[in-house]
Amino acid sequence: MVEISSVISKFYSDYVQNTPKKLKLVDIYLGYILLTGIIQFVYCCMVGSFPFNSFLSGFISTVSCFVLAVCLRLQANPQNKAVFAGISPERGFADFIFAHIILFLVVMNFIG
Amino acid sequence: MLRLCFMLLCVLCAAATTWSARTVDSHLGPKDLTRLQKVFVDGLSSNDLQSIFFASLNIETSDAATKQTLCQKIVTLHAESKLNNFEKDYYLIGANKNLRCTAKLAESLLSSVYSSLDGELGTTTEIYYRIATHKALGVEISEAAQTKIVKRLQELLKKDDTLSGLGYSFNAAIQLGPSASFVANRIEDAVVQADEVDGKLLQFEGGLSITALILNGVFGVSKALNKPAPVTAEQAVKFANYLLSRRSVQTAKGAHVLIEALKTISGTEKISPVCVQLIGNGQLDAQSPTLNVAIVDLLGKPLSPAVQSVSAKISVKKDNSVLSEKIQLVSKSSDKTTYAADLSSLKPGRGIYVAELNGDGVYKQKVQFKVLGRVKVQSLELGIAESDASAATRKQSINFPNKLKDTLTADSTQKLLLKAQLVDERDSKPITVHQAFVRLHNKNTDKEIIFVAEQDSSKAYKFDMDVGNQAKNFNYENGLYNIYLTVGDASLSNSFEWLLADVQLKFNQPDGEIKASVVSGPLPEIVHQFRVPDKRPPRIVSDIFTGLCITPLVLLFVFWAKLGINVSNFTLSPSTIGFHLGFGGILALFFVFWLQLNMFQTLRMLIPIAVFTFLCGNRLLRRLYAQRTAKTSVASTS
Repeated sequence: MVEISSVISKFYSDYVQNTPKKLKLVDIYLGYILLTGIIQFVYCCMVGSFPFNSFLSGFISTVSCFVLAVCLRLQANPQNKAVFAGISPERGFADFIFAHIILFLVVMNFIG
Repeated sequence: MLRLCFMLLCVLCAAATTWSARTVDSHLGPKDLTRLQKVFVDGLSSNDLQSIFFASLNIETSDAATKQTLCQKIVTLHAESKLNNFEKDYYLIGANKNLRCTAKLAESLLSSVYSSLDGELGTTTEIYYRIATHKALGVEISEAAQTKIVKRLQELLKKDDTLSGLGYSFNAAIQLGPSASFVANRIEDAVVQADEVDGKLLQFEGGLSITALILNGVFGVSKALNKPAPVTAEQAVKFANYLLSRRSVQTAKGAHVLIEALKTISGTEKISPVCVQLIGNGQLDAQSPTLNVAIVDLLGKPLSPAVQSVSAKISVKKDNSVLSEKIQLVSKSSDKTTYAADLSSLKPGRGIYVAELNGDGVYKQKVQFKVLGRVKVQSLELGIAESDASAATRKQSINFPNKLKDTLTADSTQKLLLKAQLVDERDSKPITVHQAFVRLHNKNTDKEIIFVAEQDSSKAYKFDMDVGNQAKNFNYENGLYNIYLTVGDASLSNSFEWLLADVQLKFNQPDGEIKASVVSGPLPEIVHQFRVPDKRPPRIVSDIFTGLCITPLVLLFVFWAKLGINVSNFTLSPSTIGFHLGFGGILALFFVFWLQLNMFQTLRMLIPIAVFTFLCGNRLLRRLYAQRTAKTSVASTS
């Protein structure tokens, strides 16, 4: 138990120290989306899925946003520079915005 | 056992063939002859050379003016005719002769006819027509020419053995006489080619004209050579049946060959079929049943020599019981063709009988006739009774053909009863009739309703009608009804309808209104129904969850603030403002899209905003990138 708590505390301090501020911002954003999705899911389980398209569009939009944000985080992470050699963080951000515009268009169309 | 079967078979075969031996059912009667005569008259006035020829063969033209025009007409028709030369020459010369035209025929035509025999004749048809033409002109064919023709005919027959070829060669041979006797060997060839239809008709393929041509030919050849008749009596009957079946023929040629062929068959003794038929409609009166039979030849002429004795075996059709084994029919002195027998001594009852007629033991025919009976109403009772049979019925007798004086009345608790005993007038035995109906007729509304009277075990006809139960059939229509009794049968000579009585019927009116019958009209419009939406959760629950969904957003800002967002890079350059405004605009547009726009409107507005945002964003990010690279390069150099 002590080991686990020490591992966690070690992990946390490491995260706070070594992770760039930009990535932390994205992580918070990810947490926010995750939470929103969970609340929607709980609603669906407790109250019911009607109207189903609204639920689906809301839930899918959270999932998609999460995925896109993870992608942005991967591309913006300096440690992954070698993997995404030709893609600067700015380019990643532009893609992120573009993908969101398309996503929201679809979601709005589907929400009813 | 086998022998017995064989004998039985022989007897059966004999029975099958003897009956209707040498007899046919009908003949060419006066009506048919008049009709055929009309065909000839029409033929004479037609514009067809062939029709005029055949018509002139059969009817005389006495009017000189008509004759004159006809004589001119045939010459023109001959010139225009598209028939073979030999055929149209024959028709022209023949018609010219039949009409006894005074004008001479053209020399060129005659010379061409005479010279035709010198050359080679192409077909048996041509040979026949050329010989016939010479005969019509009354010119003898020289010995030498005859020999040549006979030789040519022999040659042609070897090659051409079609039915028409045979037919024409037979007819040509008749004209040529004994020198052409070789064709007699081909008679059998021709006759076996006849087709049988239903075992009743015999005909040659090609129809009436070919059949008649061959029949005339074979009979003529046999006669000319003094040979026995070329067909059996049985075949002759079938040929006659076929010819008689074609009596409605419409062309002059057809009519001519039909009459000729019937004459030919009729004129051959020993095999010629005769027509044995009933006179009248085959219904004999029970009072004076006289069986009248006519025996004539195929053309409706009396036979010569006349049939000496005619006898009949009369049996009942229903059970084949024999009424009389042999009854003689006596020839009427006034009419040689009619034979009569008075059957009153046999006392035939009502029914259908079969008479097997036998004339001189040669002509046999089966005919069917009907003896009509007379029906008598022995008794008839009519009454009104209570439906529940609580009171005794009062019945009244009515005698045929009177009507009950007083009017009966019946209401819905009563019923109408009728009982009638129908008997045969002759022996007073109860009889069964085909139709026994009780008809109730309302004079005021002119509506009627008919019931069937049923026979009970004592063979009396009974009818009972419950007024209450039948009310619906009367449409609950109260009123005065006439009661009729209808008795009818095909074997009765006095079928009748008898007005028995009047009855006043009173029905219970049905409960409630009778539903108006559905009239045709447009059906109610079908309105589309949307699915009823499911029940939504209460407002408060939704609101709470909406709030819950917003809370993470607050958390997001809280954490970001805690982390310390760096907004120092936010400059007020146009591209920065443009980018954020553009992006905000897009989101706002999506919000409006959600609320009221459709996809097309949205896309139309999205495109300019998106282009603007893209340009601004591009510049912004480019600037940020430049800053970053400058920073890192500064950092790396320093």
